[in-house]
Parts: sequence; structure tokens; C-alpha cells
Amino acid sequence: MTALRVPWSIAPRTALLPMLLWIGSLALSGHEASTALMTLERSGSGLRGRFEIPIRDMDALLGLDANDDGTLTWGELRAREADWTAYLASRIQIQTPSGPRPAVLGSLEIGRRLDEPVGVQSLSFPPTVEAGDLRLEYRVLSDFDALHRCLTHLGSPAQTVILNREGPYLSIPTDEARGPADGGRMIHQGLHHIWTGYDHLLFLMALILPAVLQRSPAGWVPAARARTVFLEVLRVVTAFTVAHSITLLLATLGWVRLPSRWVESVIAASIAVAAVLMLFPGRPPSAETLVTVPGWRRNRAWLIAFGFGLIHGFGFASILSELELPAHRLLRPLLEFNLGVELGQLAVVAAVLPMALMLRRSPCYRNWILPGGVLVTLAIAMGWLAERTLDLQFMPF
Amino acid sequence: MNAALRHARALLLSGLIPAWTALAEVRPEARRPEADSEIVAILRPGATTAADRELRHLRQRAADPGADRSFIIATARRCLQRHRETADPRFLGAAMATLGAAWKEEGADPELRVLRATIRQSLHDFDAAERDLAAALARDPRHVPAWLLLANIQCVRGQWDAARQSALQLARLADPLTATTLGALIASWTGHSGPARTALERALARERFADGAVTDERRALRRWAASVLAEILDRSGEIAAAEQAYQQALTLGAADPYLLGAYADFLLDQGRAAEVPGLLDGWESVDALALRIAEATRDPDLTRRLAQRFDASRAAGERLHQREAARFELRLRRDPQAALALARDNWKIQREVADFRILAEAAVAAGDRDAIAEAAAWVQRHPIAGLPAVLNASLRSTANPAAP
Repeated sequence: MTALRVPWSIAPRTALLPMLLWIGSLALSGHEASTALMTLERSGSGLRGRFEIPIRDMDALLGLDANDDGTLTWGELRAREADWTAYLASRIQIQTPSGPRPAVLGSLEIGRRLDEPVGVQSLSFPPTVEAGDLRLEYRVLSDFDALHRCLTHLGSPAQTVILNREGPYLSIPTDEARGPADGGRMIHQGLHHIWTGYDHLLFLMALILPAVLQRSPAGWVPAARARTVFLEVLRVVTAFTVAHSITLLLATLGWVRLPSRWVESVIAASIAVAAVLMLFPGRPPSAETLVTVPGWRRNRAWLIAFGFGLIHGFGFASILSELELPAHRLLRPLLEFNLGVELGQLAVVAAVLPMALMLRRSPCYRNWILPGGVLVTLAIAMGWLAERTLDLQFMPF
Repeated sequence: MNAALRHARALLLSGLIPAWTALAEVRPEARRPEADSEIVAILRPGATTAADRELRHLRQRAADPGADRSFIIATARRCLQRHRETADPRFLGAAMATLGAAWKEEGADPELRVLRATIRQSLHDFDAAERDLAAALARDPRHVPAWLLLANIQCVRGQWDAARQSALQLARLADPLTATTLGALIASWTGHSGPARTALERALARERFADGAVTDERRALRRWAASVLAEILDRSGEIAAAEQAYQQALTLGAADPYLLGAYADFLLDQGRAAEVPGLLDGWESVDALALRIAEATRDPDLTRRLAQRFDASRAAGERLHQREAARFELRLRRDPQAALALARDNWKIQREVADFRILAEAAVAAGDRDAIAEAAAWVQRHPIAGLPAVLNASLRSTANPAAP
């Protein structure tokens, strides 16, 4: 029996045979399967975190090693960084009723994990106003390496979830503690914005503080009647509100667009102007002006408020556009957001005005609080102005 | 006041340290290199080979929506072959991904079914693999690879009688070397090492007179046969003959991680640990082979890195190399309890000699009477030839302390 009859040696069956031998020892199956790592935390109504993936896997997928020498240099990788990031962004998304939204990835860094070089990037999803849980979908490498998985650490204390081809979805519960859900969320956003948007607050203060004083030939004198002051402030705040509501609407609908750096700079300038105008409170009605000048022109603070309010509206709009609202569902969130801003303003007025009214007769208010307020406001406004026009970062807020 | 301060500080530290280590674990130092010439990753030991490039090209074509089905299956098979050569599970994932929709198909195409069964048994999904094989054999009862894989899975699961039935089927269909090797494997595991050895030696000797060019498949088959013979000789205590058979297997064709692992174990058992690092040079990326290097060198740095890798696999829910993980716990971390737990889990899935050996060793080391009694009872019903004599003795004496 010298010549072996090999009935099965017909392709393609035989091609499989070598792989079937010795399967008993396949427990030897080495390394780890391809594993990515993701950490996620809620940030407002968005998510932020970090993503890392073995460079080897991205090379197998994208062919990063341009000269095929088996060694990847930073130059070779950097030349393909845009492809790398675009691929990951298209494969890590959150699902919203208005469609999927891709992850935003930061610049690529190189690290090591478990003896293996990995690409590390910051990862975030912009805030969303969609009600309910966020649903994350992970499809990285799913059609290339079916055993690839992503170890996901969510929140703190971290809860670990494995995302892979069989289970690509991660439901991230809405953080109830952060604010009222659904309808109230936009009002909350508006409130939050006025409260942390120091520039709007400062502008408002610069309009309110001088309202309790009046100029006379003898210098500043306290306004005689609280009611006059109250009406004056009401007029100023209303003018500001009407103005910024108009531009907020125009900008959110996309009818008017202004460069945000320009808007932010003008907002800073508006505060500086308001601060200087603090030194010129309204004149008391004289017999002459009462006759010739209608009441509404006696004090032009509301005009200033209106004019700059138009600019501040564009500033609010940039916050709304970050939320990426679907066009067909724009109006209600817009109204709610505005309502939140107004409520925030009223709260500030309600806190500051009574104090200013009480103190208006004290010399301290005239000699220290008002001039001090002017100087501080002016300094901050000039700082912001320099920062925003020159594109620097030195102010602490 | 002082006590309160100390208390507060302790609280702070106890909270901070775990938080810090957890953070350090998930957040390695990362930076953006400055020079374009800086090497960020060694992707392969050498330049990309023509085979690598070809596989990449094949995979791209197979991913095309209009790709031909037989082309897709052939490409998946190439991925599997690379997995066999490298022990890298990424190629296993690539094979699955290449199959695409066919991965879940319930048709009866035997080629697809057998390919899928091969992937599934690699993932230790033995039940699903056997279902695929049953479907393939129902369609084509003469499908040799299907019978071979089925017999192998039955061996791994310790189902010797079923494995013997499959081997008989194979003997009618396959060439003599395949059938003989499988038969010898089963015989040696069920207490008949002598006849197994004789038959295998004879079959291998006949190969010398085979006609024609030797294909890669033929060489792989001979390598398998020689390594099975080596293991049988090793377990029968014929060390010199075993060494010769291993050397013969090593010269047959491409590097084979499975064969390297078996020979490394032989060297470790023979007190020839010094030869292991040279044998496994360049294979550190395979956990199971890195484990053998660590056992041989006792290198603390390698042991530490290996610990991280095993822990990471476990954290990712992987249960593919519990046998190796148990060995790591027992021999390197010296934690017999943890080793026993892993070895027992592994024993539920795999029942080869090596699986039994780590189970018995861990049971003895942990001094766990129940586990020792179980192991001793099993070895009495299944006379495994070639367990180390020391282990056999301690199993017997610990299981029956009253016996002389």
C-alpha cells in the first residue's frame, strides 16, 4: 500500500482540515480579543468621557501603516487621524427621535494598556433636550471583527457594561436630580443660563444700581419715590427682555447669523458702556422738561437696555444652538427657555432692588457702592472685551 | 479631637486609594508624540507579508454587498487558518465578521455549517457547534471534516464512547493517517496507550513512502500525528522517544502555537525550563505561551503583566482560557483556592487530560477534600495514563487517608 488513496483531498474541504486537528488544545487561544475602553459621565443633559482602542485594530481596519513595514510611526498615524476620528464618530452614536447623533472626539493621543499601544481620545455628546433615557449605539468594528467589544464604565461609582456586536446598545438613564424632566427642562436651562452667564447678570446690575439715584445740580440724590424707581426698573428689564427675545427667535430660526466672537465682544462692550452710564443717572424732572419733553424720554436707560438686549439675544441663541433642537420642535423649547431667562432676571431684580432702595439714602451707597460697582463692572467688562476680541483666556470666569 | 482627625484621615485614605488605583487602571498615561518619526506601534514582528496583504484584499472584496457566497466562505476559511497559526482571536472575529449574514443562516449547506462549527468550538460553544455538525452530516453523511471535528469536540468534552463512534465513521471515509491519529488519541486517553502508540508509529512510517508532492495540509496532518504520538510517549514515561517525536513534529511545516505549548509543557515537566524562553521567543503576546515563559523564568515583571492580562480578560467576561488562568493562579500567584475555582469551572466545559491535571493539582494544593475525592473517583472510572506519579499518589492518599 504505497500509494495512498486520499478521497477527501479535493478543495475546498481539505482546506479546513488543518484547522480541525488538535482542537482539543484550543484552550490555548491566546491574547485578549480586541477590546476598547470607554468611560462616560453625564454632563448636564449631555455625556462626556474618554475612549481608547488598540492601534493594531484600527490599522487592520484602515491600513494605517503606509509603507507596510510592520511599524507604525506617528507621522503615518497623524496623516490618517481624520479618517480614524471620522470612523469612530460614525460608529459611536446616540439615538434621538430626530435621528442619530455622532460622538464628538478630541485629538488623538497615544497610550499603553496591557502591553499594547492604544489610541486615546476625549469623547462627548452635546447636550440634548430629548425627553427620557439616552440610547447609545456602539458599532465600532462590528462588521470587521465580530469579537470586538467595548468595556464601558458609566458614571461614578462606575457601572461596567460590555458592548459588542450582539449587544450594541446602552441605555443611559436621565439624571432626575439634575432638574425637572421634559417640559420643565428648557425653563431650567434658561434659569441656569442667566444664573451662570455672568455677563448678562452684570449688565442687568449696571442698569439697576443707578436707578435708585437721580442727578441734580447738587450731584446725586436718592430718588424720592420707590414707585418711580420700580417703574423705571420695570421699563428697563422689559426693554431688555423684548429685545433679546426678538434676536433669540431670529437667530434660532436661522434667519440672522452673527459670528459668535463678535457677539460676545459686543456683549462685553455693552457692559462697559452701561458701567460708564451708571455715572450719569437720570435727571430729576424740572418744570421745563415736564412741559417740553414727554415722560418716556426723560430717562434713556431703557433704550440702552433695548439696544444691547438685541445683542444679548444672539448670545442666548448660541446656547440653544448647542442643544441642536430639531426644527419642527423649536417653538416650545424656545418659549420655555426664554421664560427661564425671564424668571432668572426677575429673581435677580427681586434680590437686588429692595436692598438698593433701602440703601439709596445712605451716603455710603452714593460714595462707595455705586462708584465701586462702576469700577468693578468696568474692569470686568474691559477684561472680557480684551479676552474676546483678542481670543485670549485669562479671566477666571 | 485627635481621634476624630485620625478617623477622618483614615476614611479619606481608604476612599482615595481604591479610587486612585481604579483610575490608574483605566487611565494610562497618554500623550501626543512630537516627532513624526516616533514609533507608536509595532504592528507585526516583520514587514507586512504578501499573505497579510492578500488577506486584507480578500476581506475587502468579501465585504462587498455583491460578493459571491463561496468566495465569502473561502475568505472566512483563510481568516480561520490565520487564527490557527497565530492563536490570535482577532482572526476568529474576522472570520465571523466575514460570514456576515451567513453567521445566523439556518440553511443546510454543509460547507457553511462546518465552517461555523469550527468557529463555535473555538469559542467553546460546543452545543451550537454540534448542532451545526449534525445538520451538515444529515445533508452529507460522508463529510470528512464534519466527522473529524465532531470526534474532536466529543474528545474535548470527555465523551469517549461517542468519540469512538465518530472515529469509526471516519475510518471508513478518511485517509489512514487521519483515522489512525484520532483513534490513537481516543485509545490513549482511555487506557490503551500501548496499541495507540504502535498504530501511530506504523502510520507515520508509511508516510515516508507516500507519492507526489507534500501539500501544506498533508504536512499539518503529519505534524498533528507526530505531536499526538509525542504526547502519548510522554505520558507513558518514554521521555527520549517523546523528545524525538516532538522534534519531528517541530520540523514539519510552519510554526504552530499549539505544538509549541505542548512541547514547552514537556520541557517544564522534564526540568528543562531553561530551554523554554528560547523555544517561545516572539510568542509573548499569546497569553498561554507567555504563561509558560513565566513559569520557566519566574520573571516578576512578566508575571505582573500576565496577571493584568488575565484579570482584564475576566473583567471582559471572557471564559476562553480558564485552564490557563487556573494554571496561572496555582503556579505563579500561588493561590490554590482561586485556581481550584477556575479549574472546576473549566472542567464543566472541557475534559482533556490537561484539564484533569490542573483540576487535580489545584485540589491537592488547596487541600480541598471534596474536590480531591471527586477527582480520585473520576480517575478510577477513566484510567488516564501518564498523570505525574506524584499527583497520582497524592490523589490516592488524600482521597483515602485510612488506606496504607
